[in-house]
Amino acid sequence: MDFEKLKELFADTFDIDEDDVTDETSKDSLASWDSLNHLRLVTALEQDFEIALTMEEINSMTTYAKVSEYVSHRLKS
Amino acid sequence: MTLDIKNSIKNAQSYDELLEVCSGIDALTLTTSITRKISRALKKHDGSSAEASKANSIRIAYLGNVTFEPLPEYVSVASCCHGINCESYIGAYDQAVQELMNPGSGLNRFSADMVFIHFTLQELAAEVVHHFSGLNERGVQRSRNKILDAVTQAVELVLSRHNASVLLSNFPAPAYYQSGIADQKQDASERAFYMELNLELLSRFKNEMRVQVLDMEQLTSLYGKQDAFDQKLYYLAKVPWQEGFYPLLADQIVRHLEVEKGWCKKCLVLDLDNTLWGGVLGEAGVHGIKVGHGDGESEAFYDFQSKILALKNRGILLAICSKNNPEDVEEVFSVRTDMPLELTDFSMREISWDMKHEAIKRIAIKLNIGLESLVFIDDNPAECELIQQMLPEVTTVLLPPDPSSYPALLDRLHGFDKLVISDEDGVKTRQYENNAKRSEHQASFEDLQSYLESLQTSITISVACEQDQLRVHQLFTKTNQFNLTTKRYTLADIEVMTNQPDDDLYVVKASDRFGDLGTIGLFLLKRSNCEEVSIDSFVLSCRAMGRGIETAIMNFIKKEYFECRGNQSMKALFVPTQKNTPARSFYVDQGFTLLEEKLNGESQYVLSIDDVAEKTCTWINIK
Repeated sequence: MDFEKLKELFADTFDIDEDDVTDETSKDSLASWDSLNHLRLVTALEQDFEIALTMEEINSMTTYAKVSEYVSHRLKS
Repeated sequence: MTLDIKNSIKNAQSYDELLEVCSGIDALTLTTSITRKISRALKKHDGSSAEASKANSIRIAYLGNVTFEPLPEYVSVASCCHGINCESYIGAYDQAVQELMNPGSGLNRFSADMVFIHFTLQELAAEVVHHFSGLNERGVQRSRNKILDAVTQAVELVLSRHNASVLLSNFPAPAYYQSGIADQKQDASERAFYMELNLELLSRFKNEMRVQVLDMEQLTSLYGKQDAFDQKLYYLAKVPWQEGFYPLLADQIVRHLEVEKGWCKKCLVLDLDNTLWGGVLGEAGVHGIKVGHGDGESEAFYDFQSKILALKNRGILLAICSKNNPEDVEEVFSVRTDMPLELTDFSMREISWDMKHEAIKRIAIKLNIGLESLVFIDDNPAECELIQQMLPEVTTVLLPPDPSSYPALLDRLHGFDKLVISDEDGVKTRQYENNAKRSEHQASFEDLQSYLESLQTSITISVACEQDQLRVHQLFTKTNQFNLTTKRYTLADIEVMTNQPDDDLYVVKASDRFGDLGTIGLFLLKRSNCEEVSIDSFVLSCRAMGRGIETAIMNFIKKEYFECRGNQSMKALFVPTQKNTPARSFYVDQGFTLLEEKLNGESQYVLSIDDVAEKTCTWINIK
């Protein structure tokens, strides 16, 4: 899967630099990761990667690592 | 979306540059990530927007019981694609009434031009959504009234307490009915419920010009109801719509914003061969060109012409710009009576072998309208390219290769929507035709004076009343040339000024030997105390310029205020724009004295009672 695209999308959504995105980037460490931007992230992911995340995945998607895991999982299935 | 556009967005150095990049994007193809990118860039350049683009600014507030994000972002970006700077305010979830009533609310501080109200029935009348099949006729009636009361209350609050118009969303019926097919035979039919509810909304606000209904039922159907609604995000966060629906919804909201501001194109300029009919006239001949009935291609062109005729009936002027022999074209229109369009439907005809950009410039000059109010449609990419290069102000539309998609293309264009279609719109073509007769008539005179006298112009000046409000709004929003201050008042402002005792708003109607010109001007005077009065606005439509009507109006003002009302002096302001040079020397010509001129050319004038003198204007009769 296209990790660069994922990183760019993630950085754009939370208004941060792509270089600052790491696996550990999380809801708690990122001030801009509020509920609205979380929704933006979900819709952008679903649209740009043409996937559908489950409600459970959306709720537990709290770090960049998880985001990347769920997206690649959905792309495979 | 290409990488090119992404980079251009990133590299845009100013708001205006960004606007230019966006003008190349079809707003209907926006995605979340592109929208986010543009939106971020817009925020970055916020405040650096040039003075000129302020004229294209609009403020919209979102109120209702849903999570609106990301809709406002989409609307701002779609606006940007149409050259509009849109600021937004999002009200707190389900706090519409509180925000509308509280003078200290964020909404009040925002001072919106338009308030978008969207209620979903899940919150407003859950029984309708979840237990419709359990409701009897009385229950249905009760729910209907409850919904209508809630909506009406919010709308009335905007109208009475805010200087804004309302964009009210109606209620889309669900994709499936609870009783399935049997719904149509039920005493309380779910389908009928939504139809009646929406019909009642329409009739309730039909005569309220400050309320526009956004047809969510039609829009969600157009997109597909199954795909428009997002159950998952609604369960999780009360977000009602799916991502793919936002571009269409935002596009429709932008149309309503344009209507609210009165931003409308005035003239549609059309090519002929392979545009109004199939084939090349010079090769196929009068009977060989395809239009009318009998074969598919001809029917497509017939439909396209019908749609164009409907635009003319909305008050859009039509013009021909074609490389052909004029006599051949005249023959087509006289012989091919199976065409919906007639030669007289066109206010201007430029049929020659000249370069098209020259022809289009002549059309604009003869109709006395700006190039930015023209839309040019042609099937030839080279001609479209030429017009885009030479006349970037003109909206150029290249037709797709297949005529079957021509009719739908007109529906998607912006700029042909109006709040209402007035009687004046219906006869606009005739009014411009009369103008052409006037010019012909003028050619038969040696001097201007005897020409003006022969026109037998008479004008009526009266205090603006309720029926005048829409035309007043049109004049305020659309007049560029003879407009002394170019203040773009909204319908809400106009409603206030017609009821404000210190504001004197007059309208001017004119007619001459060739016919009625309609309401062609207005002026607004503000009185601060009995001694002092100032001219806030003075507007004269371009079709009434050049015959001294402005002088006749000023004579009336002088008489009314100095003689009848006993004022001692009168102030007046001139604010220069790129377009109002014809009005630049107006106040000096009328005997006013310049008090102060600012660096930007804004000039303050005064006329004291000792200097009042009426200017000769004997050729105009004031009734």
